[in-house]
Amino acid sequence: MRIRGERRLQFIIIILFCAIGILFIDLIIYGIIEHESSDVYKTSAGEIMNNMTGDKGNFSLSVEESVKLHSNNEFAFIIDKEGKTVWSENLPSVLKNRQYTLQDVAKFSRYYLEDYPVRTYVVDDGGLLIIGKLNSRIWKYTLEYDVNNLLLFIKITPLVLSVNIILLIFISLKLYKAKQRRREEERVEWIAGVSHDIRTPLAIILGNAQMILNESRDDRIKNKAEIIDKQGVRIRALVENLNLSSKLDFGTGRFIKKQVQMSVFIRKILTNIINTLDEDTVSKFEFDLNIEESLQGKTFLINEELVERAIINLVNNSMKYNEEGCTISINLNENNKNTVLEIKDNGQGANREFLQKINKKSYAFEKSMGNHGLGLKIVKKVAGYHRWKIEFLKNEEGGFSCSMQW
Amino acid sequence: MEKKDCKILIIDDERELAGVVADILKNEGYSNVESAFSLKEANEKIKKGQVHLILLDVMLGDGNGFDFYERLKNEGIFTKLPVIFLSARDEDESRLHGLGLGADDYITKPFLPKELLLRIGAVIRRCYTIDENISEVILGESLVSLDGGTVRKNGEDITLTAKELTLFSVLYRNRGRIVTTDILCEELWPDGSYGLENSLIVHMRHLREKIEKNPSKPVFLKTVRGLGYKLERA
Repeated sequence: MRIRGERRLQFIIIILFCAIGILFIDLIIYGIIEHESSDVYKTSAGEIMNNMTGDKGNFSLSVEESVKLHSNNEFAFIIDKEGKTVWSENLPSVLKNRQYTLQDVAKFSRYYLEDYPVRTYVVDDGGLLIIGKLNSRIWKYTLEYDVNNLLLFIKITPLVLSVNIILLIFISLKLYKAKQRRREEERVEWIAGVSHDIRTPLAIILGNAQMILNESRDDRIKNKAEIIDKQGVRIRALVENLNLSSKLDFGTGRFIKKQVQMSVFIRKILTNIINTLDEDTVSKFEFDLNIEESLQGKTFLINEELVERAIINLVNNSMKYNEEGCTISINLNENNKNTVLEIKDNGQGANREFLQKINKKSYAFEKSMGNHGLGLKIVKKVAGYHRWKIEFLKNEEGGFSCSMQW
Repeated sequence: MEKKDCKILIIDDERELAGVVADILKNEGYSNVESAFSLKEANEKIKKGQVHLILLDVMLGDGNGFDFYERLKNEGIFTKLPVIFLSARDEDESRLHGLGLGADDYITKPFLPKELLLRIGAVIRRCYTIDENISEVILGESLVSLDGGTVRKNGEDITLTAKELTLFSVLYRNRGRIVTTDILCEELWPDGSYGLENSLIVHMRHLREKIEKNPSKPVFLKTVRGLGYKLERA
């Protein structure tokens, strides 16, 4: 779970950086375009007026400024109070010798003058200086805004922006999760499919091995058939563990819990285990079941398939690592209103490092653990699924012990 | 009906598996076993002759075992005919429960021959009355007659009570295997009254007194502490 959380955080940060990065790059691109555009260069009114000599209908512009105007593709003219052009420079022919009315001035000060974009400035003695651009495409519009609205916009902009970012993150997370989920489901399906395909051939192998065991008179052949049988049973447990493990990792709600009489349930499981063992194995191991009287017949909400698998795995584990035999005990006790299920043996036990590793909360089983991994991993997951407290330890007899408490 | 008269039809498109299941059954005394490798073939065989039990694979080449079962159930065939599903997918379990199989059963592949025989035996016993080939069991110096419900020990005939006979029959059917106290109580008191373990212990003591040479050191009727009882193989 922790690894998943970290991954999600990482994902959110990446998305945030991407969003900010994209915005930033956009801004830079706009800036560059604005900067590179030659049309933007405008000669200011002050510049012209400063380079102007003479007054009262008798203006003349300095030579440098005139050249500059030309090279910028600009024209300029001044009209007096009556709307008469009193001075002009680089004026296009359509505008030559024109008289401007108040209406004309109102129009071009807002929009265009004969399609030329122009700017209007007030000159000291009641006239107007008009600067325009030749053969250029400039988009002009008069903006008008209610100040209240504008203030409101400024106020809510951060809010809207942050909502946008949250939405962006949320949507990408959803997409990411959906994809992840699909992948996980595919994996579960795939493992289920593989284990399904293994099951039928395995049934044929187990059936035939048993037939040879029953029919052969030759002890050597019988012995070999027994090995095939034993290994087949081992593969069966592996396939079941693999399937269950993938379902526990990624499946949701596939395991239904029921009220079960734990005492009856454990007796049934242990009896099944013993009944399917061969006589040779039974003679080596001693099974000891102790159920506290107050817990006889008491029901608990569990998933039978999972708990059965956990108990089988623990018993199998004890048998596997103590081939020469040992006593395997299953105890169901009450401890301070909690119920404790303990499965232990008096065999060789596990070393400290292994116990430390396996008791870690989010322990990812390593490859080097070999077979030791899957069976006990499932035990842990089963306990986790039921929200039981689980601990693996070396008991007082030096054997391996697993206690689950709820 | 005897085991050899009980006709079992195995429906599975895996010929090898059908073959080995048939062998396992024949070895156990079910000599009347037939196989069908497709649903079509199975349909013909079911309608043609008397079949007592069907072992039905879930995924066959020409269809799905569940659908086949439901189709035949609608025709009224499975009301009398027990079926045991052989399933290779654990997802099937939920569907199996949905079918309302009632008394019947299902087994997940890969099954152990022992498990298969046990399930089949249980279903057949539930649906038909099977005459055990052996009605007399020799245990050391005692001879238990399952038909008469008596024990001949030291030339003396002792009668078993109904409960003692039931107890012995259950253990005999599972000879060599442990039977839990829960199952024994269920067999002796099917109405489901709980907490009769003490009565079970009493019945067991009486049974030992009648069968064992030394009831305090039983050789055949063994107690498995914490789990139940077991009739040792002779």
